[in-house]
Amino acid sequence: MGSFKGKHFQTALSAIESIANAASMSAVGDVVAATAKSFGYNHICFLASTGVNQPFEDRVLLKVWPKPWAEQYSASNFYASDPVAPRIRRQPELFTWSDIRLDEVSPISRTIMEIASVDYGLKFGLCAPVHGMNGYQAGLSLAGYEVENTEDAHGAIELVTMYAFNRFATLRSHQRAKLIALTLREREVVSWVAAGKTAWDTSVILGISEDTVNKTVTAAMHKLNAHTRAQAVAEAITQGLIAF
Amino acid sequence: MRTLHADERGELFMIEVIHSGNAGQFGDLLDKQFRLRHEVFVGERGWTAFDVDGEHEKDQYDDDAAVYLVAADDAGTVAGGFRLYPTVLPHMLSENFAQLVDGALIQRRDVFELTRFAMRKSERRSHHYFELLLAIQEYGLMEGLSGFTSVINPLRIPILQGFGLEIEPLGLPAMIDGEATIAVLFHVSEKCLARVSKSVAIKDSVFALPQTSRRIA
Repeated sequence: MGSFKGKHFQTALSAIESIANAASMSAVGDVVAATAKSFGYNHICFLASTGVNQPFEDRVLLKVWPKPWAEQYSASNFYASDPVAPRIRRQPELFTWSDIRLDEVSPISRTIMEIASVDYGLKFGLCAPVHGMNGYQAGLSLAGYEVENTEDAHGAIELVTMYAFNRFATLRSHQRAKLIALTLREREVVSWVAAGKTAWDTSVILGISEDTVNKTVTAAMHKLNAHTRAQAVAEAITQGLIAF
Repeated sequence: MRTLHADERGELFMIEVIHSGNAGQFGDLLDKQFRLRHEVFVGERGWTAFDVDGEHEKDQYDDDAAVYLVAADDAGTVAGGFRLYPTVLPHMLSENFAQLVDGALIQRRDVFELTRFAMRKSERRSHHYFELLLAIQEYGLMEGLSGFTSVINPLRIPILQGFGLEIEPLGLPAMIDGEATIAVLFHVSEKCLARVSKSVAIKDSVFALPQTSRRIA
């Protein structure tokens, strides 16, 4: 083998590199969208699994849909019977719409596929699921009119999807860690709140001003997304930030 | 996940590094490793080409240059393991799967090839599997390696990334004999070791001997 890299592998590698350097979820999404578009897909939807009963909109990592299709999809609640959705959860391998056997899906699902094809001209669709150590994690669903339907193109999309999801997961965990990272002083103060001490008690115990105690509690409440001191205590205990 | 230290886990499952220099001492363990490979690769996956005698699975890379990392307990029960082979010698990727590599083949002293990762069926999500994942990083650092090439099913990429491994594709996924395959490079670094160690919740060394005494030995 020479050192010449095929076009599609090159596309995948540079996308993977951009994904690794992406500092935000939306920057990752941009790379996925650009990759999908380079293969002719203009309907792009990247969904994460965050509980089966979660509504569609809460799980969207990225959605680039032309307005008419987005409106139709939402207004007719296509998600409930979209034949692609259950298969993405079940099957870890990449599949195309043509792999979906019409006699195996419900009449509503068949209608949705017909509307996509006849009314919106979506002749070709592809889904790249991501299954991690705990099963289904996410899925990229693509559709378009004139797409590059080759094994290499599919392979490149499959790789980019995996790396994008991995980056999403890393960024999400950083975000969470940042959010719940209470300072030592904040944990100390919340612990005394949990023990039933007033701000004045706490200020005496810690040798700081009552004002500082109140400000510290407010900062902790903000980080814990709590509206009351009791909520902050409950959340800090749940997250294991303070002992109880 | 809670961290259990070796002594808390009750059973002292450890990873042995077996190579041509100490194979005599570990003859029994090595034999069990070939038997486990037969169970997994011939029995389950139906690769009949390397079925030696209906009990052992071996190929042309099971020679003096091979290094085996085997997870075993004090009673000598083998839970799983994998094989390492120098990429500077003709190896599986260079001789059998070169078409999976798009670009220059990696043939470097600090890169070994990782093949025949086999786990006993009952051990696939066990502590021993986690130890072997961690061993990839720990052994690599111990030996001053920068990475391991491997041919894997692309569906394993998100799983292994989830454990904290850093994986670089060496080509696009391709079907070979009805199996989805891809050539990859697992990077070795302190950062990866720390990530894997955290995700599998093992803080101790996974090797039977402490690293220092191994270096002296």
